[in-house]
Amino acid sequence: MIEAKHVQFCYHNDAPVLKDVSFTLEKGESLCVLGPNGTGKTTLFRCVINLHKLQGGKVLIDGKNSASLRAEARARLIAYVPQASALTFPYTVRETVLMGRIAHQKLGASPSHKDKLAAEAAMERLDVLHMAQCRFHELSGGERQLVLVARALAQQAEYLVLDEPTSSLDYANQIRILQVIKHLASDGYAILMTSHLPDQTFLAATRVLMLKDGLVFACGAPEATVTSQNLSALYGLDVCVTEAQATFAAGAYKSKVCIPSMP
Amino acid sequence: MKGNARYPVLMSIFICGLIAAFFLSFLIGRYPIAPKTVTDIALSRLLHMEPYWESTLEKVVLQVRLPRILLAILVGGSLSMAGASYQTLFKNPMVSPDILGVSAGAGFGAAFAMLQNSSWAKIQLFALAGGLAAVGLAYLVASLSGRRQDLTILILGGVVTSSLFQSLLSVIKTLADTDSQLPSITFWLMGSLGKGNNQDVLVMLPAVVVSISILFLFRNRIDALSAGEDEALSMGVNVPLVKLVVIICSTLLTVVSVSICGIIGWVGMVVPHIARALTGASYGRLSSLSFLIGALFLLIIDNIIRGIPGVELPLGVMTALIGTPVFAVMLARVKKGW
Repeated sequence: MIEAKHVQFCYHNDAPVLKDVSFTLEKGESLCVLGPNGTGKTTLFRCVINLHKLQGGKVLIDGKNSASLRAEARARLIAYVPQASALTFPYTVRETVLMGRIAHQKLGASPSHKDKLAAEAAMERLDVLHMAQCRFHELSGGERQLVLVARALAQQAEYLVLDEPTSSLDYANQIRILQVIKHLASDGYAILMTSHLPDQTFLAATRVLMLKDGLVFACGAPEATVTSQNLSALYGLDVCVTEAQATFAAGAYKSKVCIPSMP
Repeated sequence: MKGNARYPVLMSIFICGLIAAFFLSFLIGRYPIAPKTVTDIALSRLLHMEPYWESTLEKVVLQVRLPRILLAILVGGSLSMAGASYQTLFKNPMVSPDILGVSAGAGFGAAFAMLQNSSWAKIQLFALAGGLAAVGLAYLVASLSGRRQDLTILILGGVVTSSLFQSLLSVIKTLADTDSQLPSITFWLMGSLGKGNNQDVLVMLPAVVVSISILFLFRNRIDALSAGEDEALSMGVNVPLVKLVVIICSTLLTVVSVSICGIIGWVGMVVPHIARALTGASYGRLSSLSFLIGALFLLIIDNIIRGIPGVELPLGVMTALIGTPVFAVMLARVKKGW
């Protein structure tokens, strides 16, 4: 379980970004953080994986303080998928995914058989194994995102932190990533993600955390939390959340959708 | 064939090439020596053998050509490997081994020693000290910003330090005696292996072996670092440690090279590109292949210099003069292969 307790952080002393943020995340859950630009979603994630030193409060991962863990030990617990990764040099997809195994490798060791198997399994799972020999920087945005998730899976950490995993992806790739996230959560991974599209919470999140002005504005199951009232207050924009039904070959399917007011 | 499958083949080719070039290099120079004589002179150090050659020849082979050949290999390899390391660390293909000011510092140190008509050993020592001082200063300047660990700030520190030491060098050039000191400073700055001796090899070898071994141990972590510091940290890399290791080892590789044979540009920046085009970005493969290509390249260039009778052209000049067309052709060919 990840427990964030009264997390405080500021880049400049006079303007705190996170004033008091607490949440918990259990395995099997996917928690989606919503909030306008600049509310500190990314900052919160960076605090969780200790890229920022907290100025108050603490983050416990399986009961251990994230800040006092060694980088290797932390990486075996929690993996991070950045919004985008810029590899300057022509690493192949396989090499990129194998980087995720470093926390399991002794200094000086080459990737072991076990490392290679873990990398292959991760690539297989995200359906990128066929491009293992392709160069990462030549892939499309959607493929890159899948490879980065594969790298995080190869790390064999049970907590996955994904920073806007669907931003800059086309519609089909967004849905693909959301499906992956949903499956991972039902397989027992704990997912912490952000999104700018509240609709996505109905598709892939088991819980929603709304951040506003450095404080938790609302938290709970998507159906109860992502409401017209909450969204309108969160983004300062009239939004109506309504139920919709669609019929596919596989059957009828109900979901909530958000409709913004566009006068 | 992709880079990783090609790697063993490439390594074999370049190792064989380097071994062949090593032996052939003994035949080049002002004194023509028959291959058999060279072999016999070498063997006579191991086995008991009646010398049938003049003692000058023995001196030429063992005390002139041997150290020069070994130094060409060590310097070419070291500069290329340092370049490959810095490029991977700084995520920047435009980086050369003197990015943190080593060359400028060493140049100033050597010139300072020459101003006092010091011995060759003292000149080397001053070059070494100057090079290390420059990198130390670059690190210090970066620390002043409070963001010592920020690689962009570190490059900025290197640029600032370089220009400082270049200015100091200009001051020394102005003060230097124009008949003797200034020419020797100028030639030193253009690089040469002509003054290397066996002592230099013995000093350089352990420094190179230790640096390369340490870099090799960290090869996977260095790869992860090229994905960015935050990502590397989240993958479990001790980022500050790995950065320091790369900086110290690459500085050591560069500074011993520069202090022994002056400033040789071009190799450290371009050879890693050739290696990367051939074998891909993975640091373990990239650095080992860079070492071999750099070693072979500098040995060939130095052989050409030794083979031209009458003049000894500066090494730093010849590397760019010959290397640039070679690089252009390689780039064009490799592109087709991809």
